[in-house]
Amino acid sequence: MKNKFFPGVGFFVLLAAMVIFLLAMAGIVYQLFVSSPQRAFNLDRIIFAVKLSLITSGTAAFLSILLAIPSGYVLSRYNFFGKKIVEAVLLLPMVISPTAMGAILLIFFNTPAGKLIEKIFGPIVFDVRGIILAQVVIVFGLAVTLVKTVFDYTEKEYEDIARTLGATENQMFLRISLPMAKKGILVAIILVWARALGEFGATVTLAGATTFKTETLPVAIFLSLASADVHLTIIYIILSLAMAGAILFLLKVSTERRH
Amino acid sequence: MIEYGSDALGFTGLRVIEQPAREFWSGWHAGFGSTGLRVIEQPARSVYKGMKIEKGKSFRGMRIKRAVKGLSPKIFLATLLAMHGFFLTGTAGKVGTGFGEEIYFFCGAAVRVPMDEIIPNYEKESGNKVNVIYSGSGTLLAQMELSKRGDVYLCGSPDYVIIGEKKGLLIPGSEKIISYLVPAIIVPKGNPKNIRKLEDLGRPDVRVGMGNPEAVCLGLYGLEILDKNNLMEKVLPQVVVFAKSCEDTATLAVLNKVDAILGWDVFESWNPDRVRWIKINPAQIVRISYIPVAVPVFVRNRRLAEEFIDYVINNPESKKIWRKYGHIRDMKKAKKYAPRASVGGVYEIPSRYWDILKKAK
Repeated sequence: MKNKFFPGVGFFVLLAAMVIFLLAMAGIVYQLFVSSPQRAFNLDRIIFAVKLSLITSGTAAFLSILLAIPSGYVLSRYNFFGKKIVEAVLLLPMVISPTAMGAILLIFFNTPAGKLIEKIFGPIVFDVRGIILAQVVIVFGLAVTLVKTVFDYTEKEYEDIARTLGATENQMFLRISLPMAKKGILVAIILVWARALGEFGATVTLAGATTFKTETLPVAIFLSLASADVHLTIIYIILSLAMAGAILFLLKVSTERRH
Repeated sequence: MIEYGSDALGFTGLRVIEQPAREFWSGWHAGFGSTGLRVIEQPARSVYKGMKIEKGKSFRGMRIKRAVKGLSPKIFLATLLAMHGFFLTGTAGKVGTGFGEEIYFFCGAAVRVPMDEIIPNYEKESGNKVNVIYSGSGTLLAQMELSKRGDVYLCGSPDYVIIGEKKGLLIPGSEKIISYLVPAIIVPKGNPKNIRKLEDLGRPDVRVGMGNPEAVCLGLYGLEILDKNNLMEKVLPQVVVFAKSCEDTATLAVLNKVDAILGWDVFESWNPDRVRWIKINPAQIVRISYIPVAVPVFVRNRRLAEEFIDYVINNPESKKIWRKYGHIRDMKKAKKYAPRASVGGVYEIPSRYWDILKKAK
């Protein structure tokens, strides 16, 4: 009996968490039925918000992981001056408030450097590009940290063997390190994607809340709540939950398949 | 040490002795946190004489039983009352007097600046605590609806009072007016695109910012002006951004992010060094808005809520603060800027609006 105490507590906590979750869901469904819509249902807008959210967060996740693979690898394998500072700065956007991050970006694009970037890449402020940038800035630190951890746990010995067999550093990375880290990186993509999907503060500050332009799902949730439309808010919440659920299910499947 | 030894308790003096946490479990106690409280029944006479009784001794075993048994209903009731006073308000003697009460104030973020000055004044003068929740007017309504809470509600425009009353969240007829808001074009300092009139917002070189008409009242008022002056098709494609709130819309001009915004006259007094108010032709303004304050149906103490509202509107110090931040308190003065405009009321977004936005996309 004494030996079972700890798992018992664990089961109890999990059960309690599930009960609270189910109760919260029941509350949402109940509100959906008791509240009435404030305005005519606009399906086009809902589809637009879902599509925009999926595309921007997917792009942001892909870009951040693409940039995080080489940088995470360097952080894992090399020691250099100021490494700790670099790591801290990368995590900064995750720690400070997203709205503050959005404001920093908004102010940055008022400077000559920011204006030059907009000249080269096209409009970013109040644009869809702004959504992607805001999401990348928020999740990049997470992406690098995840990828670095993946490389930390892959065996360095295989890399050394490849080098002794005459592989160049590029060949070793592409043929040995990357394939070994593949599964971990896949998990990192999904986690980063999930985080980007829910991003609101930085996005709305940098890209605005323009209908049919920069209205992602979290922005749509905010706007419908801001217009006191509880019914529409709940429809958006259910959609977000379904999307988040699908992504996290994907995560579970991808991590457990080859065990 | 706290002593309740008064005539109100009849012939019995009740004495509550604060004890260190260490002794918390060792007597007949009731208490929170690190403080153990011991309630000792004893004749009033001895309290009046200031005699030192039972100190240091603890109730154990038979003593506990005897002590509990000895509590007459009258004393028990008195004990409960005294403890209620102590635990619920933290200060004995303030219960039910209306002093030291708390007000849940759901306040539109657009008036945060003046409110941050008015609320501390009120708290200091009345001794009551104002728990203020700042957010967008609609968000606050949704928060009240879902939490079933709220003593006073202040929003950015009368539309939300109408919605709130329709939803059964606000007491009908409890609405009072704080100040009037006149729609205005606000430009960054120096007016870089030389905007003089409403029609200039349709120029292809002008970047316009607006509040999202679905969620932000000034967006809705701006849209109505464009609609009634047949400028929707011309100006909406020039709108580069919809802001999510009233303050965000003001920030667009302050940070020089757009060439003009459709906002309120008061924006100039929020940031006199950064923006300028371009007056819209009075004939073109179809509606002026006002900042209303109302009592939610969830109010716990209506008299107190109304007292607070009265302080916010009529206290001389509050009046000074509203004036300082450019709020127009007199309807006649507001009408000078828009003689033909109606005050308050509802405007429905026309379906044309969605088509124009989709086309612009």
